[in-house]
Amino acid sequence: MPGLFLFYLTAAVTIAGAMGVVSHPNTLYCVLSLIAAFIGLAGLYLSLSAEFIAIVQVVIYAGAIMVLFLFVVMLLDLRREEWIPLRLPIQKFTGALIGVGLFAVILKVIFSGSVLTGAKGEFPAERVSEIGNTQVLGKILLTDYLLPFQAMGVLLFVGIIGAVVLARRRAD
Amino acid sequence: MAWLAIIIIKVVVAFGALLLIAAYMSWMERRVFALVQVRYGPNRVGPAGLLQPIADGIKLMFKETVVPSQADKFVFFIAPALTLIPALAAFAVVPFGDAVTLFGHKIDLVVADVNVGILYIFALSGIGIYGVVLGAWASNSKYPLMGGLRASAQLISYELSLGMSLLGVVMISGSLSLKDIIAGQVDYPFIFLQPLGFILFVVCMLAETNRTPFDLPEAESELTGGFHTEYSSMNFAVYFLAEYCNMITLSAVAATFFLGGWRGPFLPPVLWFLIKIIAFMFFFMWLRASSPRLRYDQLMAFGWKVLLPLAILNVVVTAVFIYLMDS
Repeated sequence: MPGLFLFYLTAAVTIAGAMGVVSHPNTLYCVLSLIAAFIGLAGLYLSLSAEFIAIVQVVIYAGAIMVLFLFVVMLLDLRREEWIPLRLPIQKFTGALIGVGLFAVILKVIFSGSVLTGAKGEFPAERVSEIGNTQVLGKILLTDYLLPFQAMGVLLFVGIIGAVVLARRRAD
Repeated sequence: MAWLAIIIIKVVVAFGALLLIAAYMSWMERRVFALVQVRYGPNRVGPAGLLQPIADGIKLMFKETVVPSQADKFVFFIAPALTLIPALAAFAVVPFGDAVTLFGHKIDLVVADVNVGILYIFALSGIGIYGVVLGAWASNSKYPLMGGLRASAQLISYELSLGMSLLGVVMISGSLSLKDIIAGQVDYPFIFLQPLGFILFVVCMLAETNRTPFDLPEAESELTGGFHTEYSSMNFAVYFLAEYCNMITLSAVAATFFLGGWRGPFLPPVLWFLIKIIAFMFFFMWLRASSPRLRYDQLMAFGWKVLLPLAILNVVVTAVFIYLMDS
């Protein structure tokens, strides 16, 4: 079962990374843990045979966005390890409660034995692996989901303009 | 178990060869430099100095590893490995020859034929940045930090144009797999269809590998070596090897996308591929020996205001041509 082994390995990396992000006292190590979590997530996509999404996950999140995070940490010199005291005394308790509750819901679904399957669309997994999911994704994005796709482009573009405007004002 | 044995042999041979070629590139670089500067270069160790890389390797192995007292030790030691591993792994999707039949098994001369091959190379080159940035940060010293900041800014900026310059070829061949792209160049190499793409790729390739005229992250005269200033012995050697491995991989990508990969008349495919890579490497060295370094703002302006628009233009023009050819 190489597929199952891949799943357990990448799931373990993802969870360990996610734990590291919230628990490590040194900010730089938190960023490194987040990178590990993203790479683990890419592995999970791979085990779902979604190669394109997996690689793009690494290129964009692990490769580009996290470098910017590292930049900020390096420039702010957050080298000291410090524990920031919690603002609210009940914070820990509520967090634990929500966490356990969510976990219970997931466990219930797993052990209930009923597997939810959505309606079979035009591209079931077998066909996708036949044509390659890059082509399928490209075709769907530029036909069925053209409007949301374009809207997302506009949204990102507005974001870029906003960033430029903010950076400009500080320079003057 | 034959398939497993084949995979293991392929991995060992391909990466062994890659590391060996990378080590010998340091010899070639010094000889080419000497040639340009009318000197001899290393010629004492072995015939024509051919054992020099091995002697250098042994020397570096026996040198003391110096760790700065304020360094973050864990990150300091894993950073070089974080550069070398992606540099080696990226080569896995590059086909270095046609399929051969050995002992009744048909063997593709590529470690892994991934159907998103070129994206895989970009993903790994993106990960490779961390080794540089983290090594620079962990040294806890100002020159490496400056070098690391420059390196990451430069790599992020030029990676965009690097990817865009290859899009034209991807659009023509209709595949992201390097094997299919070579298969698409049976009649003529893609350099004739994508001359602008080729030029853009070569320029971005220089910047991605921190080579002159874009070698600001390691500018000796101002940063005393850049991000690896504090590294010594094998840690330094690992950075050094990773840099050459990156150069070889990107040369291999350029050969695959624009020069037909291992295709060529008369000589065996693997030899053709090697010749093309070495030709690119010679170009790298020749350029380093004969051109000055850019200023940092020039470098950034060039990347964003010249290369990226040209790369986008190349994509649009290619798309229009493909549409006109089809209809």
